Amino acid sequence: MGISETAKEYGRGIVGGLLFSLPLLYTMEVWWTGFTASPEKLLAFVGFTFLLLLGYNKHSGMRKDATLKDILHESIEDIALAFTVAFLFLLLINKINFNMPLREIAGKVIVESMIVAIGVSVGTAQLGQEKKREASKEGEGILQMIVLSLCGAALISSSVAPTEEILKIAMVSGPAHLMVMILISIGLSALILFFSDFKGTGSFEGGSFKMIVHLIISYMCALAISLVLLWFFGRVSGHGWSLIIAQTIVLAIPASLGASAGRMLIG
Amino acid sequence: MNNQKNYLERTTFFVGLLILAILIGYLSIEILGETKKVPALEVQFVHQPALPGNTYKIDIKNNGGETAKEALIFFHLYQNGRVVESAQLKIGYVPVHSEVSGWISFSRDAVPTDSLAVGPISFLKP
Repeated sequence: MGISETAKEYGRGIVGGLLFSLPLLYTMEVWWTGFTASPEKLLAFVGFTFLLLLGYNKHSGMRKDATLKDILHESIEDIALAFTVAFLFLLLINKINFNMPLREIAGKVIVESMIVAIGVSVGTAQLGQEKKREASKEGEGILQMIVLSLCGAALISSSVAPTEEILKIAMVSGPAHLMVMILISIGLSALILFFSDFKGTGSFEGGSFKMIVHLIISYMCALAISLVLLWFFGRVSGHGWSLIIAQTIVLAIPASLGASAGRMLIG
Repeated sequence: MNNQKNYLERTTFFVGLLILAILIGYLSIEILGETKKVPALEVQFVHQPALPGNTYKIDIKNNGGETAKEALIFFHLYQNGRVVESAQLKIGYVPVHSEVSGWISFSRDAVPTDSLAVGPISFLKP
């Protein structure tokens, strides 16, 4: 690939990073997480995001014959772009400056850049001309479905996960509310995946059992990402299990949209 | 597939690798080196005769190892040995090693015997 092609690819990556994570760059709870999260948590978040990037680049971002070295190379390039974008954007909106202690600057940039990185990866792979995307559409296995569902869920739900509204909704939601939320989440996924001719779904073959398996996997991915994001943004510690479960179900509504519609759009 | 990477891709890759190495190294040092895990707020103030009213500039620095959330700091203005007025400053977050500045304007006119004392300080662990 020539330098001009690479520059265009990076341009798409930067646009994708901004497009998918702009709400987070403007969210104060995310800035606060940058300096309230422990170094252990930040390190775990870096590791988790890197794994998601590797998974996404393996299953959608690159051609099927890409080697592990290629995938690693691509993921590290995504991190470099995301870190630069997050740093410059936070500087632009004056949420970091050089009078701040290193720990505060580093924390804010780490939190934002990890979310931007998924957007960069998706932007690089999906925002180009249609002909560049065809190679990644072949053969959707269960692992590919899980990885793309996790990435889609993270991309869509991360914009609301840090907000206090999730906690407030969860606090006033009784068991009946939560049950309806679960059913609506799964119902929306079913509508997107099987009954609306949504982009990328094609014609589903496999009967109702396979349909249920797809829905369960999709919703489990949404729940898993919701719980991870809630933990990272400090919404888990200090609360009882019932409130943690309620928050997870509340956040799983946007996450399940990401795991179904988002998966189809980014895959 | 053409695996040859061009100059721009190689540079970005090495910058990314460097960023990851610095991040992991920095966070590991933070994890290993951190011993005091509580906020420690240091409050300093200075009278501002150039500003209108009886105004003090307040600087609050967190010397601890943890962010202080919803810090509430009380100030008492003494004149002739008696508390004549009180004020409070509420700060959302004081991150580790950060400094936050604020100003307090008392309604009482400044007199030579004025002294300002810091009252109770409260904060939450985030």
